[in-house]
Amino acid sequence: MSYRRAILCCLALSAAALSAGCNDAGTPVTVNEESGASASAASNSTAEAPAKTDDAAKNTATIAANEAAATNGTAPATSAAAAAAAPAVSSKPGTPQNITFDTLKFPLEKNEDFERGKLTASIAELNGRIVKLRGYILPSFQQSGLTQFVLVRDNMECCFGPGAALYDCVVVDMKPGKTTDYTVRPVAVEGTFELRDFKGPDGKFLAIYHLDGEAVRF
Amino acid sequence: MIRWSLTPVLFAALTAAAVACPFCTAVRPSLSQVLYDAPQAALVEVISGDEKDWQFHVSKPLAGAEHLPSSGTVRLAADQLIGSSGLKVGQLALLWATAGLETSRLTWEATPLDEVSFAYIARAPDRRLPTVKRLGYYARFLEHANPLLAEDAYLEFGNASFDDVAQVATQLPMDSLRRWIVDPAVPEARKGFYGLALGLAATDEDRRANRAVLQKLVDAPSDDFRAGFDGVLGGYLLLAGGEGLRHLDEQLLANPQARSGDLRHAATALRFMQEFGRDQLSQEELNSALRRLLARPEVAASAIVDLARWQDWESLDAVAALFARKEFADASIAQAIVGYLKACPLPAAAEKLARLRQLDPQRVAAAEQAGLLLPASR
Repeated sequence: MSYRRAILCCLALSAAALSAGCNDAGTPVTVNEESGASASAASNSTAEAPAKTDDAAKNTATIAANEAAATNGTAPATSAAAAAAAPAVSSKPGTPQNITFDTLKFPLEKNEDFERGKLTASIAELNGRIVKLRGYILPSFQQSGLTQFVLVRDNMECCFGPGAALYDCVVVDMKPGKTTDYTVRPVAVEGTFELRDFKGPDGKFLAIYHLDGEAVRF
Repeated sequence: MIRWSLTPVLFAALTAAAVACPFCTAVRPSLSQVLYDAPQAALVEVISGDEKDWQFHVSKPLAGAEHLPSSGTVRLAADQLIGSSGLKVGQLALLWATAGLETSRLTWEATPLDEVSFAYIARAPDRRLPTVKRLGYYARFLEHANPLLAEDAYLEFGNASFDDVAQVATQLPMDSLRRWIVDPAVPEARKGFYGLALGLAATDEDRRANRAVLQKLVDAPSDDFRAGFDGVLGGYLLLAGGEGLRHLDEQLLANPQARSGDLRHAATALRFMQEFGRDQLSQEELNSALRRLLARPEVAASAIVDLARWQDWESLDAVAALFARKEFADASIAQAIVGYLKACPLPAAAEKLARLRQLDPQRVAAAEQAGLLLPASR
């Protein structure tokens, strides 16, 4: 199937055709390449019809060059050399960096002692960053007005306490004047991430991550 | 030093439960979330690629369109791109940027697509629309034959709020849900949501049929961990209300033979009902049900924490009495008891705590010292 035909075909799929494999695990999905109906539907699609690959070469503009242009207010560069030299910059500056508990994971065997040196460089680089992390509030003695809580990977008993992975929980302290309520739903917590050790009475690590919570979104 | 006033937590018996849907295990973002957060993203075709760089033809910009030429070519250095191993020339793909840890540079990721998944993404509703207006689109792709679509549709529901899911319940395929919940080929992780979804049926016919399916699962003997069983119980309680709770009481909560895992699932379902099912069950009914778990050391700690949060001070005597019982000697239970007594505003609670302190000052001190991050055993 040519590129153009494939795209036209799939963008042209009617809702019914797209749903052909829906709701029935194991049912194969087929796309009728020769469907006249699909071709005509393409013209009605809200998706843009793609340009030919050959034509595309004439419009080459690298991402990095465009990012540089956006930053500098200049026209996009079109050469690879310019692209290589140009730094890439997010078009959404100031927004929290989305991370997941997978981001915070690092190699640590069960019952292996934790040392800071075991953290990956990418985790260490998160220190001091504003992030957004999704998880569950560990059940609390209070229903409302929580100024501090533990955010865990999921509602399962894998995530906190002896035997649990240290990277599966984050201690959250809400910023002064801010609180949240307990909920069984997952929440997204925005705040400043920090590497901070929390140890139990026996000196063992209970948590190694901390968030200075700015907002908790349900 | 962590103050006791901040203390929420004990972990002891949190069990399998899951998402916004509190019964889903997927906290991962859906594709629409990933794309919404991406500074730049596009549906593309791979033009070329080697160890040095990759070129993509942009078919449809999805984010940061001003930086993505709709009829142009994206060129990336190979070390800027994650996930190139599954790509080949002519391949359709989803390409998106994430703000890298190095602020000066974006990281790019690519996922190979087939025509169907390409169209699925191209036709997906705008993320800025209210969730209830978007979920109908994804309902059609639950358990789709294409695994990418099936998982993504599930994640959309898993990450949606319960209220939003409830609003689109009439668009959920109830017949299929009844099949999926008992189908061993359906990923276990999704069954928590499907159980909950069955509880949201609107028509009498569906409610009767769904209740029968769920009750069969409730009554089924189990020797193993049942992923998603909490969602099954949650859905069942939504449909069966007080009558269902009494059945659950006989089958699980008051049954000394009930497995610990099932009890944890039941506790999760009760928490869910306390937050979302108050039309079906009163707080007193929920308190009574949860108190049953005080008899089981393996789930007592979490039950005590929940009872404190629900301000069930009628359990004061029963909770305090556990402190002296040998089978409840686990540190997590002591911490829960002390936490409960500190949370309870009744003068009797302070008196009981003083008594426990006399009885075993070290154990109480250890529980207090642990503060928020109380180590909990399972």
